[in-house]
Amino acid sequence: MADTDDQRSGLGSGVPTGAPEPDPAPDAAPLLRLSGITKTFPGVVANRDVSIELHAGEILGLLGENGAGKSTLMNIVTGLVRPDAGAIELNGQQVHLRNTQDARQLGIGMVHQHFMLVPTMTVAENVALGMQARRPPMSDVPRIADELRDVSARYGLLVDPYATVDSLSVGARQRAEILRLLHHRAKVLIFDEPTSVLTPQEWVHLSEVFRDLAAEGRGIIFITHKLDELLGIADRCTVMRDGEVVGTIPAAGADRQTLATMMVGREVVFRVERPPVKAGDVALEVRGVSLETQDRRLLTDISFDVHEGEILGIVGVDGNGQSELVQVLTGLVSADDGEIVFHGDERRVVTPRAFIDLGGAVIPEDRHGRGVATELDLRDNLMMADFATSEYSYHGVLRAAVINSRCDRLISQYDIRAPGWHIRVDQLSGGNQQKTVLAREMDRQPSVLIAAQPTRGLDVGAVEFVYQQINEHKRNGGATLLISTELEEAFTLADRIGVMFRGQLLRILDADEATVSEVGLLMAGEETAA
Amino acid sequence: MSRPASSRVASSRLIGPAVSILAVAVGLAVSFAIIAFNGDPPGEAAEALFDGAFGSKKQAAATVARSLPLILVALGWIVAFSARRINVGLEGQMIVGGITGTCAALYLPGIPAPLHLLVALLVGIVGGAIYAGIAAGLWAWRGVNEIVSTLLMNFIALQLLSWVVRGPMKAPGVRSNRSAIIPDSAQWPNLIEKSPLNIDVFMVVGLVATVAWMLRHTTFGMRLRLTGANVEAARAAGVRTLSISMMALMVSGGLAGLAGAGLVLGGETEVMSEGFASSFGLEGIVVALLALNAPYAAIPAALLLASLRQGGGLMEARLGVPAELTLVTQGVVLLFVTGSAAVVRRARSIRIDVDGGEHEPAVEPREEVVT
Amino acid sequence: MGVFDAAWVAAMLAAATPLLLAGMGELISQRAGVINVGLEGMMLFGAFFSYWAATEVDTIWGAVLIGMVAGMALAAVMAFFSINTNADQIVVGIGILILGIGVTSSAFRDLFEGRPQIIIEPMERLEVPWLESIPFFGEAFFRQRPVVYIAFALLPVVWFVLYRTTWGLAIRAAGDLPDAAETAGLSPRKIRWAAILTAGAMSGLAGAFLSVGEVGIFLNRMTAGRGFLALAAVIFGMWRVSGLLWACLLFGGATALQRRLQGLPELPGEVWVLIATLAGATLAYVLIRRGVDWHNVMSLVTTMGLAAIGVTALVMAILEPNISLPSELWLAMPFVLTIVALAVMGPRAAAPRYLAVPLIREHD
Repeated sequence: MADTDDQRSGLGSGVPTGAPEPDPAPDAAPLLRLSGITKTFPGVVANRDVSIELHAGEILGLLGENGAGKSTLMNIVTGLVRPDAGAIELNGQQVHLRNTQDARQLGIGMVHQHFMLVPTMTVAENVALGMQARRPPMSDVPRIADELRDVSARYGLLVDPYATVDSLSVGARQRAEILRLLHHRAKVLIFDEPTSVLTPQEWVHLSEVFRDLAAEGRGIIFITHKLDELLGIADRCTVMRDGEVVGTIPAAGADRQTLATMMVGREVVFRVERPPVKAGDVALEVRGVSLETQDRRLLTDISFDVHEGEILGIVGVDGNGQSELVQVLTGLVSADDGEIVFHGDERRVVTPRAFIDLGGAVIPEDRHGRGVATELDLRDNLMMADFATSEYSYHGVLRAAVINSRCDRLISQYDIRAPGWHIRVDQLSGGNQQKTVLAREMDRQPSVLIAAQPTRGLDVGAVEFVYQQINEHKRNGGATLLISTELEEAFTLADRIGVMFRGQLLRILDADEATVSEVGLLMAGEETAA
Repeated sequence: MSRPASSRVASSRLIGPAVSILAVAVGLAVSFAIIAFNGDPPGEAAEALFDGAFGSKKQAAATVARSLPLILVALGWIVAFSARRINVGLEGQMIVGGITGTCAALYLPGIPAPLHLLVALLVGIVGGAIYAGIAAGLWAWRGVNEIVSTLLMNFIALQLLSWVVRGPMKAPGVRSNRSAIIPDSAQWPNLIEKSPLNIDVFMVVGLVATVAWMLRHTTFGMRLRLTGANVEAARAAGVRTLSISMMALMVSGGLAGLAGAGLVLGGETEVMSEGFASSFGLEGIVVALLALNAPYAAIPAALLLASLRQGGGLMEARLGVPAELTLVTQGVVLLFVTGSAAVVRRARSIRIDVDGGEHEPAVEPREEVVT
Repeated sequence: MGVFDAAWVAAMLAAATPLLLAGMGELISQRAGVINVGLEGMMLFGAFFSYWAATEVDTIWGAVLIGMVAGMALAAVMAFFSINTNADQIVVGIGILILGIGVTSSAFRDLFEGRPQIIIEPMERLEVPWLESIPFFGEAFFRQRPVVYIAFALLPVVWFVLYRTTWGLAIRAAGDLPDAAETAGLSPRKIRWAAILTAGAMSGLAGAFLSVGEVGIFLNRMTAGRGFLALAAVIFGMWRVSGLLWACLLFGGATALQRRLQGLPELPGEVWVLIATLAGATLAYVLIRRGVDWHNVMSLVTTMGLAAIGVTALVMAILEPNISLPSELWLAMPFVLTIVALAVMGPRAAAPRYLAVPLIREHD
């Protein structure tokens, strides 16, 4: 990086990139200060009295699980969302952000997790989008491209400004996004989960870029749930949980255990009595399942088994392969490698039909994706899986009377709050929709239940109901694979707990012996000794 | 960009039909306003419109007869749409069905009625289904958007018809471009003597009931609706969504083909000529949309549009108001219905924001996401 | 050259002009994410209202302008329903189409039927001095009506706008990733509005050319499907300006050829040669670019089919048999070719990602 150093000594092309003067006075106000930020959406408090400080020249890590409130907070800082209460100060001056352009002009920029790059346009064109041109309507693309080249060389962010975005690798696209921020003279740079799409080598390079930018006096906020990366680069670390700031500690010498515990929560206080069921034969065995796309590996050599009468919980932060695992197991996607064995019936390719026929049932993580058909009525949704069986149809004609009485029974049995089965499902609350899915899946007495985030977005009553159903299934000798981002949930229900990280199943621990911090560390990618 | 919640709006099943009726009222109001603006008395125009549609027995019969192909085309749209396939090629499928049906009527001599008629209708259905099947196949295997392909295939069918009535199927010795006269054995018998109304009115009503029943009470209909409502959930439930979608398009084409064959075999002119299917394709879609994609509602909707057309003729004869004004009515009605549908849709469903804070995209791509 | 003489080229350019004009407007609109099934209706508006204006005022260019405004008026209706009420673009397009036919037919018959037909002096041809005396090219290119020159001159302008101006950036962003446009502080809705209005103006101009520019009268439904041809041309040209040009020339050439052949009893040899050449060129392109996958049915069918067409045409060219292809074949050809092109391109067809997707903002 010798070249970069030379160019950074002020002899470069002089393109202004917003780097403030080095060595600000030590008592100066922080670059960015958020005080008492509160934001409520109906049903949930996303941010409660959040206060954060970012100093010039600092890299601040923002750590927390999904739903901790990090994204809302950043949306507020970048002007996308307005807070209900609280203040934002830049260099000691309070600012009001009406929209994203205000934030941009004040020097706040963000690289989103899903890039905001138009795929068919070049990098330079993307940067030029929305900018005031010098001589409208002619776009300044050539000039911007030149400026980008300079910035690119200065920071070692190699991207061809004339490359079309869809020809770029993911890492290159991220560099393009960063270049855009620098071109907009951002002083506060926010990165939302930047490493989820990078290879380790690319991450090393990116962390060097962060250090360079920080050394210039900019401030960087770096949102992540991955501990190892955070500790490698951040100066300080703020942990959020459930919409609140749990604490801020310096990264140097930070106790990883402490951080993990801060992130995932206190030791579980309330543990439902897990029904003492003796595990039986293996109901579901997964051997060496792998899945790749052209960019990266989604699942690597996943192997585990679930016994009758057992609940195996798989925890991990969202996006580490859990969704793909469920898709493979239920037959929506074919694994590239490995076998899935239901009660000894061995297969590489499962079709959704086969999954159902082999005794499988699934509560999908996304109700509106695969769970319910919102435009159809309750009856259609309840009958979705087995309307074609001989019990409910006769040579292609549905047996209306049998179906209707079944629906009535299910509605009362599963306590679905609805006036009748004729009602459209999109009028039911989330909890009742989930109960619909449960009713449909459990009524056919499956042997293997895959429950993916089964209580997401549900109120306490609905959550309890779901837990009861899962335990009932367990008592009846069914096997359950529970996939959850909530550690409490896993500890409440599961007999054994496995942790997924980056497409791999790291460890499977006995639930009685595992500790929250141990699991939390695994979730963040840390392999513990023993 | 998080989703705000709206309060739980109690859905009213009546909102939809109310909007349709209101749309018709608005359309008529606009048309009469234009008439009045032009200096013609709107009251008399309305009277003429009504008389033309239902004034005499013959006229009423003509209106009902005209509504029949509209109903069939609307059924075609409805079947395709229940699987979320948009078939704008119904006109072309009508034409192809008409051509194949006429072929069977003309070139299979010696089959006694009513078998001959049935065979010809069947051939018409198959013709329309195959024509739609081409678009379905292109969609399933090459990812060609079915809207574009069916739309363009309309024009191919139009040229096919033009060629056929001027060339291979042209009646010998006649100057006008038309086919030979359809033999009696292949024609629809009249319901009312010397009127355009044939007994196919019973068939059409029967088909409406059949389609409605099929959608609600058969496994096939269930699969169609599941595929249309949520493709991913349907797949997860084991439905072969690709085949089902293709079949939906083909059934749709078959219905249109039946409409086309029926037009020729039941028409007053007893021949197939150019333009026999003119405007039925588009109007049938308007009927379906006005009926909010409900099969039974297609009957009154079709009667309405048919009466507009019939009445327009008399309105022109009496008052000199161009009959094409009814097209303006249709256009306004369509725009009103479709413009309000989106609002109705939003008012019907509720949204509870629970995940709060995740960045939601401002728009959602329509493409089916296959992992 | 037989039928492919300078007159044919001139006719091709004139036939391509309305397609080009409407096509350029539609290209901009589709790149912004809006598909205009009702393009034909806007063209009809332009054709009728410019004719009507021409019967009232003296300046032909004023009449043309009125035609453009009329097209924009109908386009505004399209924009309102598809953007502000988020209704389905296809359905709204059908409504616009019906309105277009209904309004123009009713108004025409109301105002002009039953009276002696008023024929406007159509636009005079503008013969470019000196250039028009070049043999062959003079007659082919430089004795056209002004709108023809305008249409072809607008092509590089449209290209420039799309790829070298800030407007073009905004348009492409609205069609490919509206989110990015919003993050950059733009409004995809306003962009789409502007794009639709542009399409309306261009179609209005195209329609005006048909009525006032070429023949001097208006006839019911005189656009005769050209609006859909323009739509097909945009798609056939894979949403690129250069593609649109080739598509319109191809379609226009087929139209001009069809008119030429109508009088002839048999298909002249040079037409067979053309077919053979085109088939051969396409076959070569497919073979060079993608080769033949012997296992793939589609690939086999395409290759065999092209080869068969080419060989048959060549044989016909040599034998010069006494047959003629029906004119309807030529009229249907553009549509067939577009579908074939889409089928060949397959899933790789590069439509704007958010084409026909309504812009639903969750927090509205």
